[in-house]
Amino acid sequence: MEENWFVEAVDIRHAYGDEPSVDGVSFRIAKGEVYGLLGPNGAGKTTLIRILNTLLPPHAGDALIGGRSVRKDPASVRAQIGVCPQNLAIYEDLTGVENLVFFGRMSGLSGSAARAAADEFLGLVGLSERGRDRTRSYSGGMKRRLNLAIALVARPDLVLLDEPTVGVDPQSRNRIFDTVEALNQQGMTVVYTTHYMEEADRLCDRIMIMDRGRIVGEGTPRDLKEPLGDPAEVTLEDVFLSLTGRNLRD
Amino acid sequence: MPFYMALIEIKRYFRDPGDLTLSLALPVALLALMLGAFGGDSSFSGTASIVDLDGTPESRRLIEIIGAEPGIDVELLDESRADRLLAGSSRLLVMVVHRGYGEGLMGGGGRPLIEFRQRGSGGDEGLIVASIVRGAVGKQAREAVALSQARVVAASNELSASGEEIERAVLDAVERDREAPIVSVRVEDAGVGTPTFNIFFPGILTMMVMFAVTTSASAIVEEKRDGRLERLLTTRLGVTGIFIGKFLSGLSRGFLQALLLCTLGLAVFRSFSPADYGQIVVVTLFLAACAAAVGMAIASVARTSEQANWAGVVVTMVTAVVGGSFFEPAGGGVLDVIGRISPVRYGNDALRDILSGSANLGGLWVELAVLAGVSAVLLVISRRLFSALQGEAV
Repeated sequence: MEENWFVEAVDIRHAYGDEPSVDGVSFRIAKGEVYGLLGPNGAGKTTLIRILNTLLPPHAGDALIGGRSVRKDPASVRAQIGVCPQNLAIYEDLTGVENLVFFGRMSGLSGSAARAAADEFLGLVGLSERGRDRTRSYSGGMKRRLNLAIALVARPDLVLLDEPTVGVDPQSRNRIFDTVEALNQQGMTVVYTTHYMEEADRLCDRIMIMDRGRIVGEGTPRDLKEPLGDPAEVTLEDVFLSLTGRNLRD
Repeated sequence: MPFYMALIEIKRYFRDPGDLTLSLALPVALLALMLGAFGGDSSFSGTASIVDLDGTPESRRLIEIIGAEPGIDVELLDESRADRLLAGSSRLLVMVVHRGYGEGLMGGGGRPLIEFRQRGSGGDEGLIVASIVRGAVGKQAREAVALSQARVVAASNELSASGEEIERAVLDAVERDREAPIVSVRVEDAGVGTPTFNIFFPGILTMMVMFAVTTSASAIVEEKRDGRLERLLTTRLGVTGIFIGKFLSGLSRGFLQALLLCTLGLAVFRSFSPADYGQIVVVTLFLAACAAAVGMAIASVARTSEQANWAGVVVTMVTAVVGGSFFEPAGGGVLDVIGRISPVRYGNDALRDILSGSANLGGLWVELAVLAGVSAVLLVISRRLFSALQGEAV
C-alpha cells in the first residue's frame, strides 16, 4: 500500500496574518483509502481542505494529488477531485437531475455522459423518484444527499467530503455512509471531515487529528485507541479529547 | 463549458417568475408609456375658451368658423368666469371678442377687437389654439373683404343683382371652397411622431441594456453567498470559465430585454425599418456586452449582494445620465465632454444616428470599437482583480 500513495502532503504551512492555521503538516493517503480529518473548531481542517482542493495556495510546502502539485498544477488537480462542501452548494431553482448534469458538465463530462451519471448517482443517494423536482422542494436530508451526489457525479479519483452529514436524520446519514462505502469499494479515495466521532470510527481506514494547525494524532482507529486501553471499550471521542483537551475553542 | 453555464443561467432566469415578469414587463411598460405619450392619434385636439362681448352675427360666425376647425372644441364663457379661471390657472388662454367686432369687420378700421388673455405663454395647447384662432379671424376677414369688394364691383358696374344675392353668391363660394378646397392638404399616417420617438427610444433602450450591469455585478456574489462558488472553482471550469460564463449570462439577459423592446418598437411604432432594426440589434448587442463587462468589474470587488446591487445601480444611473440617455447633451458643453467616458454615450450616439438615417453600421465602427474595447479591457481587469482578491475571499 505504501507504494501507492495517492495524496502526499509535505510540510504544508499557511497563516492568516501572523496566526498559523496549518503549521508544517505532512501526511500521505493511499489510493482507495477513506481518510478521516478530525479536529476541534479552529484546528486548521478547513484551511487544509481548501489547500487540497486548490482554493488556497499553501504559503510553504506542497501536496501532490495523483502526482500533480496543488501549487504548480492546480488545474490538473481539479480534474481529479470532487468536493462536497459543508454548505448546500446546489441550485434550488433547478431540479436534482439538472444540478447533477450541470456540475457533471462543469467537471468535464459530455452531455450524454452527464445525464447518464446523473441518473445513476440519483439512484445511489435514493433520489430517483424526486430527480425531476426542483430542489427547493427537497427536505434537508435530500439536499444533503444531492450535495454528495454532485461531488461524485464525475467519478473523481479523490473526493473531499466536508461534514457531509450535518443536520440530517439517521436515515439520510446511513444512506450517505452506504454511498461513501460503495464508492470506496470501487477504488475512490475519500478525505472525510466530521465532528461526529462514530462516523469517523465506522467509515475511516485511518484518521488524522489536528489541533492548532498541527497533527496531534494519526493512525487507524484501533491504533489511536490502544494507548488509552482496550480498543473495544475506548471510543474515538475519548481519544479526541485526550489529544486536544477539554477546553472550549469557540 | 462557459456557454453551458450561460445557458443554465438563462434557464434559471426564465424560471424565476418575479425576475422574469419585472425584467420583461418593464420594457413593455415603458414602451406602452411612450405609446400613450407619443403614439396613437397624431393630430392636435384642444379647447378654445371664448368670451363673446360683441354678440353680433359676425362674432357668432367667427365662433362657428373656429368650432369647425378639426380637433377644436369651443367653450363659451362670460367675462367674469373667464377671469376667475385664468386667475386660478384652470385656463391658460382665453380669447375675448370685444364689442364692435362685427362693425369693425364690416367697416374696417384695424382696431384690435380680438384679445388673448393668457397666463405666461398660454401653454402649449393655448399657443396652438391661438394660432388656429388667428387663422380663423383671418379667414373671416378675407370673407368680409371678398364680400365688400364684390359689392363695390357690383355697384360700379350697375349690376342688376341685389346686395343679398351678391352676399349669398360670395358665401356660397366660400362654403364650396370649404367643402372641396381648390388646394388641399393630405395627411398620411406613417407611424407615430418619429422625431420624438427618435429622441426617447435610444435612451430607454440603453437604460434597459444597462440593467445588465446590476445583474452581472451580483452574479458572482450570489454564487459565493449560496456556497456554490467554491464548488465551481474546484471544477474544471476554473476562474476564467466562471468569468466568461457569468459575462455571457449577463450579456444574454440584457440583450434579451433589449431585443423585446426593439421588436415592440418595430411592430408597434413602425418608426424604423426592418433594416434599421437589424442595425439597432447589433449596436444593442455590443452595448449589452459592455454592460455585462462593467458588471463583472463590480462583481470582482464586491463582497456582498448589497454592495454589488448598489454599485450596479449607481454605475447604471451615472453612465446613463452622462451618456445622454435622458437628454442629449449640448455639443461642446461640459456634460458633452464628461459623457465621452460613458459607454452609454457611444450606444446612444450610434442608435440616434441609425434612427435619423445619418449613419449605418459601417459608419459607426468607432462607436462599436469603443464598446468592444471597453468590454475587453474591463473583462481582463476584472479577471485580474478577482484573482488578486480571491486569496482570502472565496
